[in-house]
Amino acid sequence: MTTAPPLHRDPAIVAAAERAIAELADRCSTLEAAAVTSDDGFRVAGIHGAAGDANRLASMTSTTQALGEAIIRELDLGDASHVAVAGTRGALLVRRIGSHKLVLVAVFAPASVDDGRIARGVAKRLAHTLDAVLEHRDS
Amino acid sequence: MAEYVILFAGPMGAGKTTALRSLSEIEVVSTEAVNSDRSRNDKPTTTVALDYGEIDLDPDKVRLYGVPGQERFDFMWEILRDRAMGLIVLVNADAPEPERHVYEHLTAFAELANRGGVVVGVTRYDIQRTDIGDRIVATARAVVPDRVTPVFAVDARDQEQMRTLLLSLIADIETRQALAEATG
Ligand SMILES: Nc1nc2c(ncn2[C@@H]2O[C@H](COP(=O)(O)OP(=O)(O)OP(=O)(O)O)[C@@H](O)[C@H]2O)c(=O)[nH]1
Ligand SMILES: [Mg+2]
Repeated sequence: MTTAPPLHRDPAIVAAAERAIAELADRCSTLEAAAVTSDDGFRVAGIHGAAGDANRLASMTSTTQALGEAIIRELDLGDASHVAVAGTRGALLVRRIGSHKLVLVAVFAPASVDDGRIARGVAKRLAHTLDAVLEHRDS
Repeated sequence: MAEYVILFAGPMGAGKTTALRSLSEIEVVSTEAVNSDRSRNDKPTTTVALDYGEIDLDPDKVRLYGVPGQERFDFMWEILRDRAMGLIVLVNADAPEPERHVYEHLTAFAELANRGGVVVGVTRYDIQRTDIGDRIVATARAVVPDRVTPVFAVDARDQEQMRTLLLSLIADIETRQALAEATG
């Protein structure tokens, strides 16, 4: 058995994540930064604006996701959906990609009412793509 | 009755999460994620936000926070250190230069070490017995020159040993508070 590379260095996963980020950027004109990261905060793919450091955004994304899931677990609120954090200039959304050990972050400035729905759709399609990639590999 | 907020710091794999689980009387709030970088440290998971636990040391109540060891998450160090009153720096004896980690983490949390109490615990001594005790003591003295920093060899998996470490930290905090009151 050969050991698979870590998610953030797996070419098929990186390529699928890049396409998902491109789709998100295409559909959201106010997208300021976005990334797909591993659960432990390594950047798989992403785009980022002038503000901030891409690796730091990846670390903070995994922290936010883990805290969100821990709180949902503590309060017994079922399955975690997403974490939203909003400021006066914009907002960010963090959500798990299906049941993969991967997280999507999207930063919108300014935020709009459609952001959540679009990010959810992108994450869902990426999850399906990755399901197929990994299933293909197992067989 | 007093309330203490204690922070566990130290490098990846030192045993912060393990120690907190050994000590806590409530179920620990943890934020473990699958560790992608097994070449750096070969353990299955790593902390990405924090650990939280509580212990009653009658009459005192102690809140325990653990930070992620990887510097990539150092924004959590900043968030958690301000509210803490005492610091436990854990380093694993089987790291290449454990005293370098003591230096880095004591330096990152120097303000807390000076304001509150601090102890150093050297874990995984059973895996790698070293003669680093003196070097760690000297390093701690260099970073925190105005006080004595206790250094213990502990097993993070052992509740009794971790209790001893914690109690000595709390004694240290209390002693310093008493001294400050006497002279202030
Ligand atoms: N043999 C031995 N193992 C120990 C000792 N102390 C801790 N360990 C083990 O070392 C590992 C420490 O891992 P963690 O508790 O996740 O380390 P951590 O400091 O929380 O690491 P990060 O969250 O990644 O920064 C665990 O597998 C413990 O069981 C010890 O004294 N001896
Ligand atoms: Mg940990």
